[in-house]
Amino acid sequence: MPAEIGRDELEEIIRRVQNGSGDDFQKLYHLYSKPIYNFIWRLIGSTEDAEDLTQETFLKVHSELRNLREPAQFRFWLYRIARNEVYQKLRRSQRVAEVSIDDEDANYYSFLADEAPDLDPEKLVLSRELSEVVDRTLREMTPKYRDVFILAVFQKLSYEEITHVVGRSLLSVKTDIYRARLAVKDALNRYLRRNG
Amino acid sequence: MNCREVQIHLSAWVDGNLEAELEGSVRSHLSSCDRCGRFLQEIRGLNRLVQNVPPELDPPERIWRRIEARLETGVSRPTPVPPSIFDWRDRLSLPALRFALPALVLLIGLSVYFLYDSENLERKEKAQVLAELNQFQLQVEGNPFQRAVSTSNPFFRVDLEAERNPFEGRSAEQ
Repeated sequence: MPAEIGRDELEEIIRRVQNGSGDDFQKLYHLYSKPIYNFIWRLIGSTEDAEDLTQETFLKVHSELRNLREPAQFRFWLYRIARNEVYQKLRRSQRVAEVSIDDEDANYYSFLADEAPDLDPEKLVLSRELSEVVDRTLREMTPKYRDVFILAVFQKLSYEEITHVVGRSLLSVKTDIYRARLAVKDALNRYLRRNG
Repeated sequence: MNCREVQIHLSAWVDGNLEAELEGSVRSHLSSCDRCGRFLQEIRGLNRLVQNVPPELDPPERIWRRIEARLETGVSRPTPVPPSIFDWRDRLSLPALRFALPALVLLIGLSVYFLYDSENLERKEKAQVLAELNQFQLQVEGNPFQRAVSTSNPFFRVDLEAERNPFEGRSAEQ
């Protein structure tokens, strides 16, 4: 939830939108467009697609919000719509990886070292290169891990909310975030080793 | 609880999502396991790093304008909006247009200059031709004021024409 708004106020805005208030829909858009745009951008890696899909997400919110019974569930409902829009787009453009999201047996992390060397992020300079390493690692990751990691670390959704967004159990979400975290840590370690 | 299980819980801990009932056993494991202690330090640092790079992007204003336009038309879910005139301001930011616009201004400027210059040239040429014609007229017909006086008298004109008899002139030259 954006810091500048309380839960009660948000629920009130949602109810007014459900009753047809255009001004409140605009408020809702301005409250959530930035996190949703960034969420989509991190998933899809293109600002142009992120623009189109943010637009489609909020249009869908506008047309479907009246069906949301519990305004308290708005946030994860919104992220679920955004994520669905992304995967529909990826399916349409056939850019989705051949691996199934539910393929538990696939060894996506064979490249991970058993013992990751020490990483001391305190000493790291926050550079563009590092952000590229993180981005690239996330994009190379299977969606199963990437989505939950982005939702937890960048979007700061609770694990409970994430279970609703991705439709998996708490244990599965927790384990997948851990695996994604290992992958990002390993990628950064390898980058640091290469660059001294 | 083995190290792998503890590390999964530690991953949830740094995100603020560790179940309260597990906290005690995780703390207990940490107090006696250097490896998991190091892991906790690493992933805490990693979280700080990842959250700070890259900075979040601001969504462009045109997204809301497009949404508004779509809502006004009452179309809930048509195909993505193609580039159109209503968001021309955003399109100006495209690199191609950044070059195309100054080029267009330059082209218009040059066209105006050459158009003006050609008109000017035409005016000069006309003036020159007129001047030459006047000169020629003076040479051939003499001073028009004198002629006006002389032609007003038909008898005088006859005399004048007689004076201009080319044969007479030629014989005089001879």
